[in-house]
Amino acid sequence: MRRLRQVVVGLMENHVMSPQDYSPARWRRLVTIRERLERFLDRRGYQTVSTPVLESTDLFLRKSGGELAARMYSFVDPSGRRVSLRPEFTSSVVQGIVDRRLKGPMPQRWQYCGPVFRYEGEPNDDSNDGSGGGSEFQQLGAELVGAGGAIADAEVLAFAAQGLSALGVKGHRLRIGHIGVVNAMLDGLGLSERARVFVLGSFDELRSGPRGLDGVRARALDMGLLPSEGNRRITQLARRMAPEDAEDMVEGFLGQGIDGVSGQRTPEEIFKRYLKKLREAGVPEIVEKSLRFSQELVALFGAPQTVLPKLRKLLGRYGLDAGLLAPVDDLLAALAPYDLKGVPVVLDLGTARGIAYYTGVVFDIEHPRVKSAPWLGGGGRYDGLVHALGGSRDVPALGFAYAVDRISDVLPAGFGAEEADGAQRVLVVPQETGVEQAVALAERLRAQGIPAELELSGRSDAEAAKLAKQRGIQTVMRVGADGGVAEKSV
Amino acid sequence: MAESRKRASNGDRANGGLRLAVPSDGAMYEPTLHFLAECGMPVVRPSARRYTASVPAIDGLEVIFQRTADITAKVDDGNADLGLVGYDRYAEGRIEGGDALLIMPALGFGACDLVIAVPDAWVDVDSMADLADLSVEFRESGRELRVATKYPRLVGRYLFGHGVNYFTMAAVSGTLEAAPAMGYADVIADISASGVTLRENHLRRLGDGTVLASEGVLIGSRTLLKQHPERLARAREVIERIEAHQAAASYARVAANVQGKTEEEVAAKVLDRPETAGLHGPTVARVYSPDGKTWFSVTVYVRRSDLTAVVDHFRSVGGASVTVSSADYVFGAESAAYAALLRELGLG
Repeated sequence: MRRLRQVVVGLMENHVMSPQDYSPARWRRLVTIRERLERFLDRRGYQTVSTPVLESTDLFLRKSGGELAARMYSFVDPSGRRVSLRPEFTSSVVQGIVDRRLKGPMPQRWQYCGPVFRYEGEPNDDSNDGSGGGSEFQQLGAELVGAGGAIADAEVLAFAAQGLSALGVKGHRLRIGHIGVVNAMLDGLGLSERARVFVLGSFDELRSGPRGLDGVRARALDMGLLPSEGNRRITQLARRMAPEDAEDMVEGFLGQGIDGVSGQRTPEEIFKRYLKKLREAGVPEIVEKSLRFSQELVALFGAPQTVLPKLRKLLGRYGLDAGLLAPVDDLLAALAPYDLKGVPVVLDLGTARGIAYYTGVVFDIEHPRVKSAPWLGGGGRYDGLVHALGGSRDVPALGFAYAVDRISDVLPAGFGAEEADGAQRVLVVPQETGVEQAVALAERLRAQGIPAELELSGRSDAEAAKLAKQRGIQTVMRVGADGGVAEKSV
Repeated sequence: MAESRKRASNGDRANGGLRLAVPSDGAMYEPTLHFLAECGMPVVRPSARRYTASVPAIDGLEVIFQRTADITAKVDDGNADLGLVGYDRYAEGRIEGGDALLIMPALGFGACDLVIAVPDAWVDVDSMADLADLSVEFRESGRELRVATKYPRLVGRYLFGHGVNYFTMAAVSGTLEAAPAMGYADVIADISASGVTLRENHLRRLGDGTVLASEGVLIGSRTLLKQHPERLARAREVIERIEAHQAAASYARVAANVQGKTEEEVAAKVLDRPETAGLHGPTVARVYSPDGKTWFSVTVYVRRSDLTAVVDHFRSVGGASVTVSSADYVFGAESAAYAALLRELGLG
């Protein structure tokens, strides 16, 4: 007995992953948010699907390229498989489409809602994004699969913003970026793919000013994107030679250095990759130019009509075609028919998160009272994901997800209260010998559609009245052994 | 286990005896004992086979020897009140928000890095980004990058954080450095103090592959120290001695004879430079010199890092026979680490 008590106390003191303990009032709010958003999306053709809480770890790794991997709750299940509590829904939905568990004519519109799990780190830890509230979050989102282009983009962006307005959220705004456009710009500057991924991944750092630029430069050197002095000659040599000759050269230089210890790799593999790296090392001038360009790019954000002319000028100064901005123009034009209810749009091509899988538009829904990602929600276009998850071809797709807990935080205090059952509730209180009669009365009331609950602890009149008050119940009915009922309003 | 349970209820501990867990093996064993001796708490171990020992300098302090990997858990589950352990082991083994509290970080011994190392022959791999790239290449060719480590939690998180997403942790027993040569791992993540072992095994650490920089730390049980005031009082002695030893290492006692008319004049000359003020300013005393001149002896405790400047200053104000000596311990008015512990326990 004592042992059991210790175990129970232990459990209460140490929640395994600081889960959400939702109070009834908070849960009511969340359910109301969920119901209204679900209805909002349902009326726009998004059907609700349910996906497993537990999935193969691999599924999530294949999607995010591991962006979330360090924050996943992963373990080996009794069958020996590596599994994870879902950190997001998109992978599961897309896998469902690939496996043809989710079927229908294209484009398909799906919505989902439920808990996701992410390790948030300790309060003073870098990996903590300050979202608070523990490791379990309610997420609600939508995917539009099988449609490319600005019309589809605009639909998802507009619904994401409108859904919140329909709930009564005020003050949110839509920050729009475009990974596809930025990639095309960096491509236009002559950056190799490896260097492009690096530069895109450094956008946040570049935003922090000149010191950010120095830090990024240092890392580029570390990674061999900027060849060191010693490497520069050999890099140039390798670029000029025929591949076979270059391989011979590298083998000649390095052959002696390669002994037996090389893990699972053969010397040929190592030479090949070394050479590839030499060839793909950024031309220093181009990497430098791209970093400067990016630093200017990330500094330009604001209302589209003011930012676009500046962007065109920037492109002009770097010898890039202003036509690269066409997808942005198309998107803004496609958004025009939607009434965004005054939600401001911020154009910010420095928005570069999720670069491992987003391929086109990306967006965040921000709110002044939410200070960090994941904001109120966000999403983007991920045209390559169906293929990455085993689909036979690329299927255009995009989606978004709301952080429901955070939406609840920015809604007014009384939100959801009006959804509570307005009917007169009754507390049925049995006198000592009137239990049977009391149960019968409660059942009669319920049959008539009147919510009724039974007092079970033998409370006196005064105590029962107090309980009713605490529970928000308006009527107390006291039942005697003879079936007599004394009714009292509280 | 049964033995340690029995000892947990022995008289000493019930009477407020404090139990300190220290490493019984590995690279931290000798340095930890040496450190305790330097702090004035030499450990007397009746025989190398005994897993308990005493510290005569502090009444009621019992030392238990534990495997390095187990010390954090011993403190966390209340089998020891304090522990001396490498920060690497603490970070790997601790439970977040758990009972094992970091009382004193950076004790100045047992410094080493937890590093990621690849075979020397991988001339194409210089950075974590390369490793990330390689893990994708491995996967595409139907293989998996195998990482051998005794620190799966820290290393897993570090790899994920650097975009290395596809890897398996290879089970290891014995020396990690041999794993790539033996063929059951490609990459290792292990503690390296000098890098010699890595080099001898044809391994090379990655430039940005330092998972963690570590040295000895003092940890303690939040619950036990809070519940047992007598143990807390003994813990205070341990903390103060460590702190005084650390402070002594950073201060030196400088004494010099300076000519002048009055004590005030000499003090003013010495205090001309802020470094020379030292801990609490100089002590100035008259020297009754046979040559009839008025000399004053000045003594001051200064930071070791300021030593050259201080000696120069003494010379510039006419100081003669400047001597510098070390203190064994420097006790401040209050122990900063102990005050911080009290705050952490909600007692300060």
